[in-house]
Amino acid sequence: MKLFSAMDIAGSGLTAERVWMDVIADNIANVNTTRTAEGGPYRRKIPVFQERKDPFDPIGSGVRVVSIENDTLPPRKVYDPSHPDADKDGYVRYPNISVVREMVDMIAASRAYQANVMVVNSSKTMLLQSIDIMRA
Amino acid sequence: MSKLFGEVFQLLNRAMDAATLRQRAIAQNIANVNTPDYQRVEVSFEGELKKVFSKQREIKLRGVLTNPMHIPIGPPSIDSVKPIIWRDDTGYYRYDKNNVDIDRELVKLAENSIKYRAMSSLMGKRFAMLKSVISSRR
Repeated sequence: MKLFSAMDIAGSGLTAERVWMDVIADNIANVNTTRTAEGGPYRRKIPVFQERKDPFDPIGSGVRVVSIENDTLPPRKVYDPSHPDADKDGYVRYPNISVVREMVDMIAASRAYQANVMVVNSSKTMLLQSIDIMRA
Repeated sequence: MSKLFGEVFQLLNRAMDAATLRQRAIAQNIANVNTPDYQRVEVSFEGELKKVFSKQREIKLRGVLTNPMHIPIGPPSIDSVKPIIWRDDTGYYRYDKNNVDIDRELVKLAENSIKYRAMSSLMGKRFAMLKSVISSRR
């Protein structure tokens, strides 16, 4: 049904923004991680958003996160010879994460989430109103 | 249908369909507010309706249809109004080439839901009128 699909679209937006929020939380939690399973320091993660197209519908059906990829910036080097993960020149490689940037992204994600919640609420009200037509 | 319910119902029906479609378009735009290269989707209905109204005013002659194969002659009916869905590719101001303006979309969302509320209460009132006509005796 068409009106429900407006809610589905907003729901896909909520999912995408929540994934982004999870990724930001992961980035902030790992701001000082120097050891990972793949080796080397933690790398900043970025979710890649894509519009979800529908071949039978020109409007489309929302958004999806197609992949979560690594930032391509090189790690930040800090001179600390006593650190167990320091290389032979005494440099420790830390993740390329700027906490300020993550905070800005966090605000963007939470505002986008709120906007999608507004769409859900407005669609819900519309749907209830159309039910009320016959109550008159 | 048209004898009992009249043209107003037809019009409300079309307009509410268009509002539903527009709600989906706005939902799509807001869901994709952070998608790079996304182009806004837009629904035009009022303009199309206006075109049909002005044609109805201009064309007075109407051909009588006695066979379903006949080509209709005369002013177009409200049923022929179709909302147009199009992508806005006129430009962007963001670095990621996304042209969704979140403020504009939220304003349109509020506008659309108020319009829908007006139309649905109008529809309810029409039904109530019909109902009172049917249920009143003598």
